[in-house]
Amino acid sequence: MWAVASHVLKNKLTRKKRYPLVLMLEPLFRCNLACAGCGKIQYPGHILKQELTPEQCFSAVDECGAPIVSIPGGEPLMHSNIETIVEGLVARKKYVYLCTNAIVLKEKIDLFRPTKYLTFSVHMDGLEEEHDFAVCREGVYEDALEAIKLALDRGFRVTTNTTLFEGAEPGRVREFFDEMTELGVEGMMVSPGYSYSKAPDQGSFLHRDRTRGLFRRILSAPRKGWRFNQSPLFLEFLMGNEGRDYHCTPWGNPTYNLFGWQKPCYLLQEGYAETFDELMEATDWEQYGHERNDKCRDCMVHSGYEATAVDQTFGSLRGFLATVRATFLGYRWTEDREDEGSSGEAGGAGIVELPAVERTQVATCGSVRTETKA
Amino acid sequence: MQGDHPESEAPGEAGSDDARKDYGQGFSWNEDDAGSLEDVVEAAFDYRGDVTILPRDGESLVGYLANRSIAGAAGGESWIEVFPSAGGPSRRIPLKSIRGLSFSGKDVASGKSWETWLEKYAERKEALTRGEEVENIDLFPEELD
Ligand code: SF4
Repeated sequence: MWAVASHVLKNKLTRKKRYPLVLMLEPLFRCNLACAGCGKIQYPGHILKQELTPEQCFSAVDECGAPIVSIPGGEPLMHSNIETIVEGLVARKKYVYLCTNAIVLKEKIDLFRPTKYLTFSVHMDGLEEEHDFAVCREGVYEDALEAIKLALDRGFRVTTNTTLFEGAEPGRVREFFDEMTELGVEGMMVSPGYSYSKAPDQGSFLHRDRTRGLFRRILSAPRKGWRFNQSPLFLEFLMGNEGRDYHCTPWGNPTYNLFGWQKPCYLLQEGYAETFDELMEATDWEQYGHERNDKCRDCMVHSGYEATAVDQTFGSLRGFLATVRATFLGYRWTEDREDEGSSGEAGGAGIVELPAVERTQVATCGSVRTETKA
Repeated sequence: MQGDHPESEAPGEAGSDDARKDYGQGFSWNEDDAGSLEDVVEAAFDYRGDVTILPRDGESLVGYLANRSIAGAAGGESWIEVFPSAGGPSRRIPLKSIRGLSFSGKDVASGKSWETWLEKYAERKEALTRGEEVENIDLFPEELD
């Protein structure tokens, strides 16, 4: 928290308009799962075999300067030098979120030492049935659960990372949050999914209004004990708080991988820059954002919008007070026709039942996509 | 002459919307064909399989086209960046040195894998509710070696 706050304030004081908060470092594209709906790992075999070297990772991290480094993939634990990469980043006092499906975490855990700088962020896309469906393999939920327990026992920081798509059942998601809370994870992250153009299923997407409805139903009466490892203002944005009609901040989570610095964000691949400076200077940022670009239309993903929320928190007294209020008194959202009668404030009358929907499920790598046809 | 496309009778002019839909494994273009190399390169950038590049001089190169830069009115050099399938570092190739390009490798992002799996999942679930023996439908990544 302090690292992020001081980073934001430093950039505000130097009047820097665009600065990164979280580097998304993809050291490989290879994965040990083959989720049918995943759009992140579709590359020829010779590309899947390649890895960034630790030195390439370090120079990207140094170049970028973000205080937090998230390591997704592919599956980063399949990288032949992942422990060297993590060690080097910890030595640089970067807060590292190693995003893993945890299948091989038990086997590899001895490669790492617990430190406040390292967190295992385990993809958990819901309760057992939903998760195993999402990853197209039975038993993965149980494996991940055991790995989480082991990591917690060993003193590691562990969070979960959940992606939801339209049609996810709010009650089941709430049960899942209860289960993770009981397990003792330090925090949970939740975000709506982005439907990658390369994912095999391109049938139906989560639209913004449906995202808000879904998140209102999930978060409008949060249970005591749920801890989210993300900005409360971002959660209010997902729930449709009028005052949080954020614009995307794609440079907040720049992405570096085998091909270079990805333009413009973690989700879209419009090209690659050789250097971080080139990414920041040569990208036409004005082209992107849900109001301007078709590919962005329904995006409300944390890698695009959480940085906006964080900037609001530390960029003004009002934003800071709103964050304190949301943290201690609960989330606020703006009602719309879909959920008339809801309280508009967390801790109200409970979850509002919205019209039933026909449910079809789609899986992405690391995310549940339960898509809806009204 | 049109770009060759074995699975389609008339792929249309390269670069048009019609043609773009037809870019797929087997599509090939050379400089005598209709359409521009720039448009073919743009489609190749979006293609998740290897391509074969025919240079004006020297041997053809097979690899994954990972990046490109098309110079605008302001000038500069247009190029593509290719990761050779045979290994080694990526290579930056000026567009002006290319006489042909084909989509030679399998498009790993195409196919009906999702629909097929979903059908199997539904069948399996029904069979389970009937108490029948079911086959395992777990998905695994393809072996790389
Ligand atoms: S709106 Fe989403 S997809 Fe578009 S640039 Fe921002 S983060 Fe990327």
